[in-house]
Amino acid sequence: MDYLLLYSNCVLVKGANRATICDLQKGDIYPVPKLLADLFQEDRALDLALLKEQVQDETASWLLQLIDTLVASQLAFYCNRQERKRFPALHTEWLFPAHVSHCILDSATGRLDYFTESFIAQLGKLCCNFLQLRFFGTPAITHLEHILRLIKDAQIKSVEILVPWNAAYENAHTYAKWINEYKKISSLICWGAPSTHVVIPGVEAMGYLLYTGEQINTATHCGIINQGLFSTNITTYTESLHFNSCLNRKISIDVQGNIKNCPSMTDSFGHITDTSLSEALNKPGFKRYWHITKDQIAVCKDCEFRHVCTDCRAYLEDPEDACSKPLKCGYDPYTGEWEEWSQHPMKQKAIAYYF
Amino acid sequence: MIAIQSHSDEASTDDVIDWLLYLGADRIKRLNGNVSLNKETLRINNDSGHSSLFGELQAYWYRRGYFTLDIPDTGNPYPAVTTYFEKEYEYYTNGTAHFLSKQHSINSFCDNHTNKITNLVEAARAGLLIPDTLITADVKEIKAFAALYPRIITKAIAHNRIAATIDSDTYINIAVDTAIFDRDMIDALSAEQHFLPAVFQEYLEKKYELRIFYFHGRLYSMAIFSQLNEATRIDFRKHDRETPNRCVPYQLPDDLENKLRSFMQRIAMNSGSIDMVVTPSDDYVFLEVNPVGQLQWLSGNCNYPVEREIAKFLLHDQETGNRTTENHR
Repeated sequence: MDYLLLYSNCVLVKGANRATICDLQKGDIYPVPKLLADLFQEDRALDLALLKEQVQDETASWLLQLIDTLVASQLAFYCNRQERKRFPALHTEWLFPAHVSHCILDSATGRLDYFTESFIAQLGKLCCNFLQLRFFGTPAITHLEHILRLIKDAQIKSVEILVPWNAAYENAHTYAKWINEYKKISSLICWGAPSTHVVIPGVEAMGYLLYTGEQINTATHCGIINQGLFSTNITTYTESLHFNSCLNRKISIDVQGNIKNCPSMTDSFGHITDTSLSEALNKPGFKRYWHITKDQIAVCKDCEFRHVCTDCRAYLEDPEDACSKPLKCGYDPYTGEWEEWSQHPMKQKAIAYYF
Repeated sequence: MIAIQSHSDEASTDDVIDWLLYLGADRIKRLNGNVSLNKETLRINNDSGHSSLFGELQAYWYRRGYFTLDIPDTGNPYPAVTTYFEKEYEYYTNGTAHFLSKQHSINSFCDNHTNKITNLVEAARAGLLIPDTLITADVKEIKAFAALYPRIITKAIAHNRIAATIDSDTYINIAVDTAIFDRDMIDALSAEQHFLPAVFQEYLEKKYELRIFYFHGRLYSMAIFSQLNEATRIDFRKHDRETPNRCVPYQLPDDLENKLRSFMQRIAMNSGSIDMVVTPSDDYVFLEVNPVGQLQWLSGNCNYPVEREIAKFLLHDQETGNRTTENHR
């Protein structure tokens, strides 16, 4: 065999210190030493004859072992010169038919009074797929059910809901009832619960119910970067090649009713009482962060996780620089180590600035 | 009006409608499940044609669903008369399906009647390799055929599923998948046994399998590495949830693409999912074509813009459609 070829939905992402192979079909991430990563032509094909020529004894056998592991993990396969051209690289276009992919609505009081039929119609026009409702105050059962009924018949594909944990709702099995009744709920997260655990595991197209002891009572809780939030799939990967991983096609309404790209950002593009979502969206500046790709962001551009990462443009290491590293990321791609971001001495100034 | 006939839980239909809305379509009519033509009218003359089912037709996509038999109860006690009614109704639905297929359209209800045997004949005539195939219920013939190959397989002639309603709450769904017909099972057959004729084919060793979506001359191909996984070695449709088969974009040789186009024209099917095998000696062997095959599986794993191109076709947005074809060649 002439080549070791990566399956085209297993993409090699090189970082400063090492690389990853992101298996976009199965959702796994495999770290790979830089030495091996650099041997791939066009980041896909490893010429086996060349490898044996160029690399010396011990290193060669170590690399061949790694290669066997890649084949055993079904990330790559052996092929000949003829076959190689039959396996083209993955199309990198981001295929997502929506003017707005996600809409985030924050409520301090537990009420979202603007959430009416005409508001749902606005979201429909924008082809909005996903909705996130973040309640920092407890919504009345009738109010939330009214919202869920509107969503049920709309084009929205799924909704994630954050609510304060409430003993009376728990006793009445209200949360479980919502999950069973409204299939579009992908997850219902009750914050401030007595303990953290999964109450209903989301299986077979059902939503999951999660209790967390954390206090998620303001929008400032957003923007944390960690491996658990990585999203290893074709949609995230291709979006990250062309657009900002966090802010592209997002719209939100903060607790005051201001229409923003993200609730944690300062720029407002009108108030929901007198501005429509599309009016806000088309105001100059609304989309100014949408084209900041990970390849333009300091530090991130050297990170092997850059195409599976969530990113954050609201909280930055250097608040003055739109292309600065996310503040709440504790990963150092130059050493390959994770640290607790909030303890980092370099971040204290920015922490003082935002919080 | 863009008319789509499908099922309510058919995901690719949802995806195409997302693209239609995104691209600005405003008049979309989706019919789900069983469609009765009883209260509908079909008008045909030399100037135009019109079915009340969809009104002014801009484009029509038959994805799934049925024109259902809906015969009013006249109290007729004679089975022969019932059969006559059913035939009449069937000709009406097929005629309507034909009328719709002559509009700017993708697939037709009549494509469901596509015939595996006919398709093998036409594939061979189009220059494609096909497996050696025997269709019989004759045990002697089966034994002689089995002696020619290390292994043979068997599959149904028409349908790979039996769906039967038991009562209003219960129905059964039996999969009739492709299976290896083992040597000892063949040996155990006695010449006096009677059974339904079935398809027997030489078992093909596979390097990988191909799923090819054909759509008005365009081809989107995917390689399936089914041999990595024991459960899918015989029939890749037996999906393994834990370890899904590796599925990646594949570029067919030009001459093979042309043969597939010619084959699809011969069987007059403007869209379908073609299954092929690549053998260890790099032969491309045609297996079958399914007019209403799974799409998300192919477009999702290969990042092909299939759903967008379907939407553009329905919107008569041909110019961009052709440009995309170029990218795929």
